[in-house]
Formats: sequence, structure tokens, C-alpha cells
Amino acid sequence: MTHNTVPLRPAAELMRLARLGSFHQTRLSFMRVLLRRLVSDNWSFHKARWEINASGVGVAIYTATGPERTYSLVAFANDLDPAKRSDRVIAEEWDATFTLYDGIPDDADIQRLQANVPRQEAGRITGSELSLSRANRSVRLFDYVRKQLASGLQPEAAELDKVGYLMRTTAVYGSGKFGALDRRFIADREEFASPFQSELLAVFMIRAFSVDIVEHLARVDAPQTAVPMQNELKRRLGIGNSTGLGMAPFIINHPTLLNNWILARETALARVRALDAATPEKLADFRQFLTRQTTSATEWTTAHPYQAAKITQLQDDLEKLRTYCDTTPWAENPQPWNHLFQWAVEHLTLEGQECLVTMLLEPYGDIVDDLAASMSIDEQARFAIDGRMSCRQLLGLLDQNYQFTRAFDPLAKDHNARFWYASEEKLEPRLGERFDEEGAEREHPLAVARDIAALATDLADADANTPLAEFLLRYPQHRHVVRRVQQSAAHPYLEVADNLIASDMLPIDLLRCKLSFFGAVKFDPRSDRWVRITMYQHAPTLDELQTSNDSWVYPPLYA
Amino acid sequence: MLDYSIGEIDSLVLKAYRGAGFSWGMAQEAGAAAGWLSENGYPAIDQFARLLPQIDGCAHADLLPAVVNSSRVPERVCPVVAGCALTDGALCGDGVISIAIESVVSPIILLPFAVRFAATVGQVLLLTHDAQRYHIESGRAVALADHTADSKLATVQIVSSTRQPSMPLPVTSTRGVGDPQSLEVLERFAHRTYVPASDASRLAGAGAGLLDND
Repeated sequence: MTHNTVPLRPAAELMRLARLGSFHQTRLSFMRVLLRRLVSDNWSFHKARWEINASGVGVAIYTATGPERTYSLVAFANDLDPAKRSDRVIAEEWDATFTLYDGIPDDADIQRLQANVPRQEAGRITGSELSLSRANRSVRLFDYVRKQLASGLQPEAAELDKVGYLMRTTAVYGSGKFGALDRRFIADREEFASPFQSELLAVFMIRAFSVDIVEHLARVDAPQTAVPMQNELKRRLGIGNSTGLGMAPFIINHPTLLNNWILARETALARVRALDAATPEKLADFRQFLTRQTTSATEWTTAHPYQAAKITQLQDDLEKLRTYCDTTPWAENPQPWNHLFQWAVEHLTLEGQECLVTMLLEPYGDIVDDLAASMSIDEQARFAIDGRMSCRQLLGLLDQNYQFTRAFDPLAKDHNARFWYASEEKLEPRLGERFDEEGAEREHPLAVARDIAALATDLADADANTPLAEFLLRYPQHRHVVRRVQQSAAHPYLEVADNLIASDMLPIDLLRCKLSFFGAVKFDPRSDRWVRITMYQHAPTLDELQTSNDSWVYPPLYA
Repeated sequence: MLDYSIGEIDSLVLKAYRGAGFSWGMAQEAGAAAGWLSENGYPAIDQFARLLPQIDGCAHADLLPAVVNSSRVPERVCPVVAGCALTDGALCGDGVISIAIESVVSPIILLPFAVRFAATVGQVLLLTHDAQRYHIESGRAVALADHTADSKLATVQIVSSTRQPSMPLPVTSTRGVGDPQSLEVLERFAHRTYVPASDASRLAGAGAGLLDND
């Protein structure tokens, strides 16, 4: 099928923050990988317990059963004083809290979880639990839906679309956090082969809970008149998420993992670009996705000027793309998809270019979906430093993979403007102003460009034949970046090719990159370092999963 | 005694080692070693809690084993510093291994490094300190003697050995435990890596300020 291969995009161009901050979800995003598996392996869901009282307080359990195992979402519903409702990590109480239990919990487990899960970070979970999370109601939508259902009416679709979810998660902790089982001990389970599958399985069930609890409260309000929500409307509701800086360092602290995510996506793109022809069926598929993506872009709103401008660009880009597809015989070119992609590089903004990547993959699940299996990595196996490598060889890798650090000027204030640190209060990552705030001596090692520049200076002073073992005896301060540079030999996409302490660096670009791989949509930054997103909107409900299809992420073509 | 995930122990020891004044790259090694030790049933939290007060604020160069310590015979050797020198290949070549490292604090912490080193050089090794002996083969270590109290500063010997036809599988664990007092020591060191909040940083550092309840 493919004769002429197309090279992968070079890291120096691809890994710039502005481009990573323009990524969209794809077929390889972890939510879509999860749902494909739930369908293909015939998973079933069951509401095993619903003991929630008239004030909306109690416990609910949802089970997910696959070929070999059952997992249980244990949900604790709370009657939260609205004054205490906050998305921020400093909150101490939530509308609902959750854990994903590995198996089926007994009463003693539930008692133990009841004493800990509602307290979140202040409690402890155990090796029987795989995730810990919480969610708050969307004040804008929850009460409206509750009232409508109570009075026997369905909520208006347009009202649902304005928000897109009933509840918003504000943290989903996984691997090893607060006592949970480490990911490495479940990494060999087929259902968790791809990254973040257990967390996203929990979130998928939390979405169901958010609908069940609003229906429950509507019944409490008016048992005579209340009605359940129609499935078509339920599907319009995803689950929100509010994410701050806490997530940003992850992709810097897991360079080889980031590489595998990007490499899978880029390999998928190159495979499609290399195709010699596009069949009429695939062209029709592409056109359908273009239409649905255009709808999706019009549903995407934000008050943040940075993202608002980008949404406008995306809408313009999609219009240009449609016009080009309608008015030129582009598909008759050899390697038509490559032709279209190159046209986009010349004519569209980063938003439009990266959105096209997403759309090019859509019709070609048959040749790209296998790449999802390559998106995990055994980081431990790549941890060791090769001390026999010479300083010359390391300099060679710097030349090859770290050109972006050349622009770093250690004397320029705006190049050194920020520092990443952990706050004493919440032990969460924060970003400080180096020249205005205390604490820069406690900086975390995320200033890769600066630290690589310092390494390069000391390497240049050393004898080129010196093995790194000897170099590192003298310069232990370079050890963390020596590790990265060595990893770069086999992992070309491991670094964000920008200065992460520059005065104009936007943390929301880091957040969007990571969240796009999760499968999030509708990025709505609330500041330069905090973003709201929507997950699983338009996804099938738990009981219709087996009749759903994989393109749920795009709004359906409503007649 | 509470139990902890391996990730929690790795992360706590990483921060604590950094808090004791060492580089981030070295702290990553300390964290990984603590994770390995916990997974293999050794009391990582207690061992690091014993180590850190003894090397707090020391220069890396002063904690190196004598064979690569250019300045003097070290008073004490840090097992993480020595372990990195070992795995990097700074202590010996690839031939027959015979290394003695004197004055090591918390010598068991050298074990994960020796396991990695054995894999790198493709050899079977024997690590001994005090009355302890560990057979290291195929990425695993098996204790050959019962646990006895460590001396204050141990001499650790690492030598080439021969394959054992039926090496027992070490018992591994998905959790680690630690004495509450040890945990407190590590948390005190880790605390040095945190930045106290100010009103300004509370607002700006996390980027809040907009309505978050709507």
C-alpha cells in the first residue's frame, strides 16, 4: 500500500511549545484507546450499589468487568456547602469523591474507604486502589438539569452544550499516589497496557455517576413528576476537568514516555502521508470528519484571549481547508494526504495544522491504531547512565538533539525569569518569579535549556576522551541532564524544545500537550497556568457501549 | 506501621536526598535505589533515615570511595555516591571485579547499584559487608546470610563470582514499610526542598484568581 515513505517531522520543529500547545486529541488518545478496548473485549458495567439518601449523601459502586478482571468505582456523594466548593487544590471538601478499587470491595473495604477517600490528600488509600479523585458540580448546569428533570421536562440540548458536563473533576491521582498501587504492578494487564487507562476508566464511570446523581436528586425533589434524562441528551454530557500547574512538570519529568507518545502520533501521520492514493470511501470519511470537526470548533468557547484567538484561527483554518478541498483536484496528486498536509503547513496556523493531523488519522484506524501499543515505556530500564561514553560522544548528542538550548543566554533576565518549585502548603508544583520572589535556591530541575547550556560549557572544558564516569565524579550537578542527553540518542522527541523558565513561557501549552494525549477537548484556559477541559463528551453511555462506534469524540451530525 | 507505595518511597527519598544538599541527578539515583530496596523487602526508609543525618551538607567529593577520592581518605562514604561511581564504571574496568569500599554508611544501599552494575558488565557478583553476603545474578540479589546488625561504617567488598544453578527467587513486594521516626527524619529533609507560601505566590504561583465555582 505504501511505497514511498515520508520522514517524521524533525523534533526541532515539532517540539516547540507553541506547537505542542496546539495539539488536538487523536485516535491514539488514551480515552479512545480505552473505549476501543472496552468495546472489543466486551466489557460490561453494572451499578452494584446505590445507597444515597435524600440529601444526596451516601455511597455508590459501579463495576466494570472485562475478560479477566472486575474493577469497582467507589463513589462517596456529599451534600457540600456551596461556599466550600472550589476547583483549586487547596479545597478540603467536594461534591463527590471516588476511588477505583482493584476487584470488588467488601463492607470492610468500603468502611475503610469511607474514612479516607472523602478526605482525598489528607487520607490514605492502599495497594487495593488504583486511583483517587473528586468532582464538583457545575453550578451553571447541575441545578438547571435537576429542576428540569424534577418537573418532568428534559433539559434543552442548547443549555447542555453551553457547559458540556454536570460535574468537573479537579484531580485524578493514579500510580502510587497517596498509597495507591504503583502503575508498574498493573502494567502487564492487557487493559492497562496504554498509559493512564485505570484513571480514565474511573473517569468514564464518574461521568455515569454525574448523571445518576442528578436524576436521583430530581426524584427526591419531585417523586411524582421526575423523569430520567434521555440517552441522547446524556451522551451530550461529558465530564469536566480543571487542571493546574500540578500536571505541567509531568512531561518534563518523563522524557522517554513523552517521546513514545509523540513518536506514535508522528509515525501514524507519516504512514497516512505516505499512502499513494485515497479511495473514495476514505475521502468521504475525511470529509465527514472535517464537517464534524468544524461543528466541534464552533462549540468551543473560552474567555481567555490567548485561546480565543486560537479558536478563531482554527475556525478560519477549517474554512480554508474546506474551500481548498472543494475547489481543487488535490486528491488526484500522488500521495494526496501528503499533498494536503504540505498545503496546510504553508497556509494554516499551528492550530489548523495540528487539527489536520488529527483528521488525517481518523479514516485510517486500520493502519495506525496498532501504534497505541507503543505508547507506554519501562522508564526504569532506561534510567542507568552509561559512564563509558566519552565527553566527545555526549557533545555529539548535544549537537544533534539540543540545538534549541544554544539560544539560552544565562545573563539575560528574561531567559531566567521563572523558577519551578514545590509549595510547602500543598506540595504541589508552582512557578515563581526568580527576581521578585523568595525560594529560587529550592528550584526543581525543569530548566532543561539552562542546565544543558551549563553542561555544554563544562564538557567543552573537559578532555574530549574523558569517560563520563570520570566527568561525573567532578560534576555531579550535571547528572540529571547527562541522563536526558543519553536518552535522547534513542528517543528523539523527549524534550520540549523551548526554555521553560523564560518570562513568556505559557504553562497552559504544556498542559494542553499532555491533555490532548488523554483525549481531552475544549481547552478553556482560566489563566496562563490553569485550564478547564471536557472529557468523554458525546461518548456512549455505559449501557450502550457495545453498539457505539469509535468516532464518538466528534459531535454527531444531528439531522 | 503504615505501608507506602514504591512511588511514594522513591519520591520521598529523592526529595530528602536533595534536601541533604546533593544534586538532582544524584537524588534521582537515591530515589530509585530506595524503590528497588523496598520492592525487594529491604527497609529503605530506615536505611536512608540513618544515612542522611551523617552526610547532611557534605560535599560530594568528600563522600567518594578512597580509590577515586583525590583529596584524602574519606571519613565516611555515601552508598549513593559510591553506587553511582560503581555503576558509571569509575571504580573498575570490565575484567575480573574485585572492589573494596571502606567506611560505607548504610551499606545495604549499595546493593541496588551492584545489581545494576552486574547487569552492565554481564557478570555474577558477590557483595559482602559485615556478616552479610549477597549473591547477584540476572538482575536479582539473594541474601545468603541472616540479617545481623550492621557496623557503623562497613567495608563493602564486591567481587566476581560464579553462577548458581538454582538460585532461589527473592521475595518481592509491591509495598514498603518504615518506622514512623525514620519517616519523620526523611520528611524533615524533604521539607527543605519546599518553598513556603506567601500571599502573592498563593495567588500567582498556581495561577488562580478567576472564578472557580461556576
